[in-house]
Amino acid sequence: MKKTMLETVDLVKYFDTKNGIVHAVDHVNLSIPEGETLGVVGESGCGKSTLGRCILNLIPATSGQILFDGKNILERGGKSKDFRQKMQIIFQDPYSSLDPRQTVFNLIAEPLKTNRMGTKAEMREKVEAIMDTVGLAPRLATAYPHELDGGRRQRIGVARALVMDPKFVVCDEPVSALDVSIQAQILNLMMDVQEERGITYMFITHDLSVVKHISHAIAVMYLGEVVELAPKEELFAHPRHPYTKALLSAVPIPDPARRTMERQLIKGEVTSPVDPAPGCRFAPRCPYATPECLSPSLGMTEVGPNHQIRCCHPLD
Amino acid sequence: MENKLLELKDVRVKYHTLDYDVMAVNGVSLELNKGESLGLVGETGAGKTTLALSILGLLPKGVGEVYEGEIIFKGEDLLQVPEKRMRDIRGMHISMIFQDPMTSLNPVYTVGDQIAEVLQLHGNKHPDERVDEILGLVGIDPSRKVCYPHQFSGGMKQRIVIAMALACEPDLLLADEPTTALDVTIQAQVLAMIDDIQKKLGTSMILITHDLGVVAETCDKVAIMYAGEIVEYGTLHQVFDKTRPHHPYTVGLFGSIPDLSSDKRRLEPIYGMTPDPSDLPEGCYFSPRCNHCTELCKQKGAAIHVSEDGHMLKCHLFTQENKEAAE
Repeated sequence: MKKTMLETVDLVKYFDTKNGIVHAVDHVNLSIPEGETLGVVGESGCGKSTLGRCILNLIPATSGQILFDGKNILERGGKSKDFRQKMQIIFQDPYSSLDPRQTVFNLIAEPLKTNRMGTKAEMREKVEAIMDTVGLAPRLATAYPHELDGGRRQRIGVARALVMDPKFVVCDEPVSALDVSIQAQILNLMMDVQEERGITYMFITHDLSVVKHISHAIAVMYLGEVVELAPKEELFAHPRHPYTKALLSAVPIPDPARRTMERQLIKGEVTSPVDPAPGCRFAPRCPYATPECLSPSLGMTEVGPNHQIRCCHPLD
Repeated sequence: MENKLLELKDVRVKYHTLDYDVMAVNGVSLELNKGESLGLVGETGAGKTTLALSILGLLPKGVGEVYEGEIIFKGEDLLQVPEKRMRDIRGMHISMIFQDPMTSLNPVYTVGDQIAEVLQLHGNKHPDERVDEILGLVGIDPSRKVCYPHQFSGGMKQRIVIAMALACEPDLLLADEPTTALDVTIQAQVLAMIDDIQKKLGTSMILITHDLGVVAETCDKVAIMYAGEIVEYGTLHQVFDKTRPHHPYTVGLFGSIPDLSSDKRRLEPIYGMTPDPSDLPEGCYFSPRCNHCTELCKQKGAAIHVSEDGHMLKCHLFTQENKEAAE
C-alpha cells in the first residue's frame, strides 16, 4: 500500500454573498496516494477549481482539514512556506497566467528567487535543466511570452511548477485552452515527468477523455459535492451514480458506429449552488429521483472496493 | 447534380497587413448538397472561420479578400453579386451561428426583439407568431421572449442564437463551433436539438469544429483542414474508418485524442506546431511535421488524389508521381 500524499477531511468552502451562501465545496473527503493522479471532473461551476485552490490554501477553507504528507497544512497559521514549496499549481490559461513583461528565464526562475533557493549560478543551472525537461529550447530563455504559441506557454507553466521539485501538483485544466495535437504533447510530458519523479497530481478538468487518459482514480463533482469516487477502470466500466452515467453518455465519441447507440440525455441545467436544498443536489434533473432523495442524511456509501457514491438509487 | 446547393471552386483568401500577407485559405474546393451536413475540422488558425466568413461575404473590408475562386450558391456566384443582394441572402438563405453565445447577443434588447429583427429585415411585418413558434422549436418557453440575454444561461443563449439563425428557414446554416463554450451535458442537448431541427427543416449545414467526436455524431461528410487547405475529404465513414488510408495529418489528429474506449497509455501526437500562415513552408504545408516526408514533399505541394468512391486525399503518398519517383 502506497502512502497517502494528500488527504482532505470534510473540506468545506462557503462563499457569503448577498443572495445567500454559495456552497462551492461541501464536505469533500479525498485521498491521493503518492505518485498517483486523482482526476476531478465536473461541469462549470461545480467547485472543482475552488477545491484545487483550497487545497493549496490559495483560498482559505471555511472548515475541514487538508493533510499533506500527514500534516494538516491549515494548522500552521501564516507559516506556509514549507508546504508551498512542495505543492504547486499549473493554471488553465497560458495566455493570462504569465507576466507579459518577464522573459521565459525570469518566469521560470521566479519561484526559486521568491524562496531564495541557492545562488544565481545554481538557479541558472536549475532553470536550464527544467527547460530541457519540459522541451523548451535554450534559445527561448530570453523570449517573452507573446512571442510564443499556446503550447510553449503552457510548457512554461509546467516548468514554473516543476522547478521547485514539488511532491504534489494541482493541475487546473492545463490543456483545455490548447489544440488537440498540442494537448497530446503536454499530456505526454506530464505523464513522463510523473514517472520520472513520482509526483502526485490532482488533475482538474471537464474533459472526460483527458481525465480517463491521465488519472488513476476519478472523483466526479456536482454542485460542490463529490458524487462518485472510484478507480478509473471501474468508473468508466460501471458508473453507479446517475449523474456520472449521464456525463459519460453525453461525451461525443469519435466513432460513427456509436452514433446509433441510445443516449441518455439529462434534462435541464445545473441548479443554483446558493443555499441548496437538503438531500441529493442532482435530484431535480435525475430520472430516478424519488421523495427519499431529499432526505438530508444522504452521505457517501461504499458500493465496491474503493468505490463510493452519494446516491440512494445506485445503478447496477 | 440537381440538388447541389453550394459549390466552392478553388477559393483563396488572404489578409493584408502592413508588412506581409496572411494566406488564410489556399485553394479550397467543396460541394454541399441539399439537406447534407458537412463537418469542417481543423486546429486554430487552419482557416475554418475565414472560409465561413467568405461564404457570407463578411470578411473585414480592406483587410480580408477572396482573391481567387468562385462561391456558387444555388447557381449564383456570391463573390459577384452586389451588396444589396447579399443582404437578402444573409439570414434569409444562409445564416451563421457564432461560437460564443455570450457575446453574439445584444445585451440591451430582449431576445424576442432580436429574433423579430431578423424576420422584419426579411419582410415579415408581423413576426410575433413566428417568434413564438421558433422559440418553441429550440425548446424555450415563448413567454420568455421578453427577457434579456443576461437572464439566460449559456446553453439557453446558444439556443436563442440558433433560433435567430433559423428564423427564416435558411437553406444553409454555417455553425462555427456552436457548442465549444458549453458543458458536455448541455452540448449533448444542443447537438441533439440541431440534428432534430435540421431534419425537420431540411437545412444543409457546415459545422465548424475541432472536436472529432462532435463531427461523428452530427455530420454526413467530413473535411479536414490544415493551413488553409483541405487535406482530406470524404463521407463520415470514409474519414473515420481506421482501415482505410488517410492523410498523415488526419492520423495525427486521431492519435492525439485520448480515446474513452481504449486503454492506450501514451498518445501519439503530431510534433511541432501549425505553420504561420504568413510564412508557409515550401512544398506540402504539412511536410515539416510529417513522418512520411520525402524530398518531393519539400519541393512541391501534392496533387489531389480521389479514390473510386470519392474519398479525397491531398498527399504525395497517394499520387502517381510519388510512386514513379520511388521506383
